[in-house]
Amino acid sequence: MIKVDQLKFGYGDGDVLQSVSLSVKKGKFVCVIGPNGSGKTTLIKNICKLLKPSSGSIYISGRNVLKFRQKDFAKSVAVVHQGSNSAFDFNVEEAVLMGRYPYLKRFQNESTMDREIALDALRQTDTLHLKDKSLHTISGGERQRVMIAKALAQEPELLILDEPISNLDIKYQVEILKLCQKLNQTKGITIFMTLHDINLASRFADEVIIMKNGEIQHFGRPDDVITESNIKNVYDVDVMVQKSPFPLVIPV
Amino acid sequence: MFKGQKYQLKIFILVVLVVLLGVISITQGSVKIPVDDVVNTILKTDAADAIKPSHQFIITSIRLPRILLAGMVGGILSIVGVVFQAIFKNPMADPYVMGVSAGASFGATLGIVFGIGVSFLGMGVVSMMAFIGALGTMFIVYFLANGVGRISTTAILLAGVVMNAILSSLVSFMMMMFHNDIDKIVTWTMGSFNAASWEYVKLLVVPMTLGLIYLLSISRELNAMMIGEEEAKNTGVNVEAIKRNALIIASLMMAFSVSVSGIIGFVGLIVPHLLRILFGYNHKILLPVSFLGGASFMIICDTFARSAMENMEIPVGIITSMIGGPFFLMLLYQQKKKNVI
Repeated sequence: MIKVDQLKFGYGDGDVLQSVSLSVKKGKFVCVIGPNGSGKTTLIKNICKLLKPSSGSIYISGRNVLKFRQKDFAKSVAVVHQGSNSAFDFNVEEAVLMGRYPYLKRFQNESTMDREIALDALRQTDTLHLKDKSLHTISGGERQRVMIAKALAQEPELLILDEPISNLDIKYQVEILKLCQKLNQTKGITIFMTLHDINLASRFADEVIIMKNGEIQHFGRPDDVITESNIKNVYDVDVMVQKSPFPLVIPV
Repeated sequence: MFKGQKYQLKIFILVVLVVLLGVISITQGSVKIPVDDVVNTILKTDAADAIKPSHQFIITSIRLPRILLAGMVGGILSIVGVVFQAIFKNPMADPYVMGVSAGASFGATLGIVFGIGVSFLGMGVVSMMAFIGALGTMFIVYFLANGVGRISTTAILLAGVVMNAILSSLVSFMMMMFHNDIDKIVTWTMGSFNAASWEYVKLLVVPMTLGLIYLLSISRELNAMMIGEEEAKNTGVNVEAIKRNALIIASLMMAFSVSVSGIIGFVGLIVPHLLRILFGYNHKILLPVSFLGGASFMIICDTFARSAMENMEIPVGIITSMIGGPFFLMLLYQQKKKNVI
């Protein structure tokens, strides 16, 4: 699904990403973790075509991302970015319907099918009851689910999320991750997300990527990569890792 | 209030409103003309023969072109306001943000001071110079902001502000040097339709129509961009291209409109705001209603401008600012209370 080959990227002074290579199989749930400034978000922005690599290449379903037309890319890859707050107000249904954009021609109206798909996305994210509310009046957790609904309306094979649960309380955090898990298991959508919380990554992900200083340090099943020595090496904190049923990190 | 109803109906109602306002406006002025006469003259019915030729002349050669021009300029100012506010993601952006107003004033001032009865395509030298000034400034601002391959909206705002300051000081300097022309310069910068003619209407109609077709065609992209530029890109919007095209096309419309009317403030701010409250934020409806709403507002203001005081015309820019300023402050205060800004 995703293949990154010797990706380098810098904003001008020094490389933020140094020779990152990875490959994610279709249908996987992958979390990227790592300290602040380790290059997680930069990696995501390169994958979703918002930044152009200095060198190296990125393939989605075997096709170089730079070769995709913007609309075609949006048909296979949907992205939920870190909460942006618009000064302008839309209602939830309008916002989700925007997810149908890649399928519409200029001057073409949304069809009944497009509306059905949007409503279905609302249903799947359990936000149908919010449909007529304004984006300003719903809570952070609801807003995040609406943004996932908008992404679903794009009918993607790959869903990328950048810190989807930062600033949410534990209830919403679990809710969002369970939603992603459901989409992954029932619809076969590949999930690729950055997370801050190591334990939640360990609980939900099939595979975990641990980054540090713009490089991938460890990549594998949570059981294999979330270990006391790896955490010490990457985060420079001493922790205990409890092994079952999945690795649980406890600071000492 | 009007949210949720069929959008064709809303637009139809506003079109009717604009036409009604136009007809009422024609009846008003230093000479009052009955509505029947206005309708018969414009529709060229058989009854038109019985109407005084002087009235017919006032209707077709003076008031009708003027009202059409006011409506067109009002519509352009509002729709461009909506588009710029969406692109800059700033509800305070106005149609002159690219420095078009200062460029036009500077050009017009040069035209007033040095102009000698030259004309071009039916434009007087002042209008022509205003057009060139507006266009020149717009391109300078655009290229300053476009330095690194993609357009920075912050750089545009800054470059616009600085160009404004430079050109305004040049205008003031010229006013000092050429005392005799101060009146004319001041009057021009306050905006007016008293020079309206069919030539101006014809001049404006083509760029306006082409511009409108483009702007109306990007409503969905503007909606997506208001959620956020990154989000818009990842829903498939070619954000850089839309931004570039919309900025250039909207500013061209502004350059044409400012050259026939002078600078008319606040319309591009208050009309979009008011209409967002009434119709919501969806550009599919907001763009067309802002054009029609702007046209209505300008026709009303211009009717006041030319008929409120006897023997004297108030520049319409004064009226729009006098009504618009306080109204705008009120909106600002309300939005501040809601913590939207």
